Amino acid sequence: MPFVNRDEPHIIGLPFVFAWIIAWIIVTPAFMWVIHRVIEGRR
Amino acid sequence: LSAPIIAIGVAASIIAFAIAVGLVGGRLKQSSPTEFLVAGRSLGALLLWLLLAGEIYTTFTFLGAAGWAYGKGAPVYYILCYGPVAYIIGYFVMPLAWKVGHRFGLLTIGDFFATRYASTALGAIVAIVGFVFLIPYITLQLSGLQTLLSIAGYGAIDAQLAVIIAVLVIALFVFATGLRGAAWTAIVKDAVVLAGVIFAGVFLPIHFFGSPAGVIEKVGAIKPQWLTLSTTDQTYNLTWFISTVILNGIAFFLFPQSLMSVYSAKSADSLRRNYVWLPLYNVMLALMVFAGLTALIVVPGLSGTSVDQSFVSVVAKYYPPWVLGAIAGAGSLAALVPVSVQLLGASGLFVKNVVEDAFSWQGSERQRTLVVRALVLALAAGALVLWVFLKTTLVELLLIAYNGMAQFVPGFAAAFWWRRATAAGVGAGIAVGIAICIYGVLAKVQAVFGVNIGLVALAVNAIVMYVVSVVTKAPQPVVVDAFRSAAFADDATPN
Repeated sequence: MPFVNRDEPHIIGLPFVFAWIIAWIIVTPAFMWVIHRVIEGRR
Repeated sequence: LSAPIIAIGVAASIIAFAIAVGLVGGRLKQSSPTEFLVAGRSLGALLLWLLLAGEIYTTFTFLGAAGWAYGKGAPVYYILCYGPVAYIIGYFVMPLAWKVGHRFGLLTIGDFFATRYASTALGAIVAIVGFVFLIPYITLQLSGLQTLLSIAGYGAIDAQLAVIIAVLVIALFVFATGLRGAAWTAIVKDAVVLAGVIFAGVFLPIHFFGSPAGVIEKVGAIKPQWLTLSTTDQTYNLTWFISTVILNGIAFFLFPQSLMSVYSAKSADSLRRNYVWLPLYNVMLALMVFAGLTALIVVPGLSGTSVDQSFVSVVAKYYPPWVLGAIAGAGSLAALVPVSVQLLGASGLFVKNVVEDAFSWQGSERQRTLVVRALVLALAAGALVLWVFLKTTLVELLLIAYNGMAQFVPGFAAAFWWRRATAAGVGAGIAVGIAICIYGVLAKVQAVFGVNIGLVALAVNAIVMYVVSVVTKAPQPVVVDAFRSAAFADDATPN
């Protein structure tokens, strides 16, 4: 967080830190889905 | 027709429609405790999604998120973050809790503690703490309702009258719909709230600034410090942000109702599949940040608790009464549905683990219903008292509730991963943690060296739990092993 807590550069008009958070919210399910598939595969 | 009558009329119609849906839906099933509290452990992935996702959209989302974006700026980002953190933890931990619940027939979080630590007293303590710390959460929703009513009345209804009407509406709603009814009204609620959120977060900024991002540019020009977290602020700085996200992420599942939602799942796997995708729902919360920032430019000058009115004030000022009424109706449902679910959950918890288990009371179904209703009223009255004495923003009310629920975390985690933990240790830890939280509320301390006070209390709680557990008699290995083997069993193992 300390490194991304900044205003510039703007991404699609959003402050960098805000865009960073939204990006992670969208990426999280993708990661979780991959993890889910891997764990399921082992079962 | 005058403006207040149109606005209140539209809002009341939306609420009445939801109650009607709840009445029809609530009639569908007979009520046994298992049905009443955990919907017969029968919910598949889709219904479970509605239940779990619906918990996120409350008045808090509607008013509080915009209010903090308006009043504090970047600290509001925490609201977007803790959900995904919670779901990642939930993915790994909640299937364990579900399996234990399934094996031992658990209904409440009190049952969970009573079973693992072989102590009805501990179950009762957990139930009482959960019950009491739900009060600020109810106050939050109550205060949201009051705000909406006051604004929709265009000043014709004063705050005192509005809050009393709000209590009456809550009681009417809970008594009329019940839990399964509330699940049905949740569908109506989510639809209207979603429409409201899109209006607030997309339409409003486009109307005033041409695009949702346009508002960011304006705010950046006037208050650049609003867009990033402060490193110098005494309370709401970067350390506070990180500690709060962690604390709320782990406390998320320990509200009175939360474990009941988990137990209502049909299988551990339907839980897992939900937790994979639930983070996406949080993107919608970002829209309320736009709404709050729009209000900051359009209706500047609000301060204190009135920041929570920010975005509704914009609607009242620039849009016709029926739009305001629709927003107020959506916002009211966003308060009423979670409140009724939580009220019934907390009352059910109290009846099960305090009245029935700790005092060995056995009443008929009818008497039980009466006691639950009396407790619902007691909670609503407690929330009203807190509203009178504790003037604070919606977000701060939510943080108090989270700090309290977080004190269950050490005992909850130790149930799975530390055999030596004892009932006395967990009880002592909770007592000390709660004492620190209450001190924080009374002394108005939100953070210690930037670390959220709830997390500080949690750390002390864990240390106390460790020390007291080690010096008290070790728990029966039979009980602990039975619990753990249920939790760590393979999905396929028949119970």
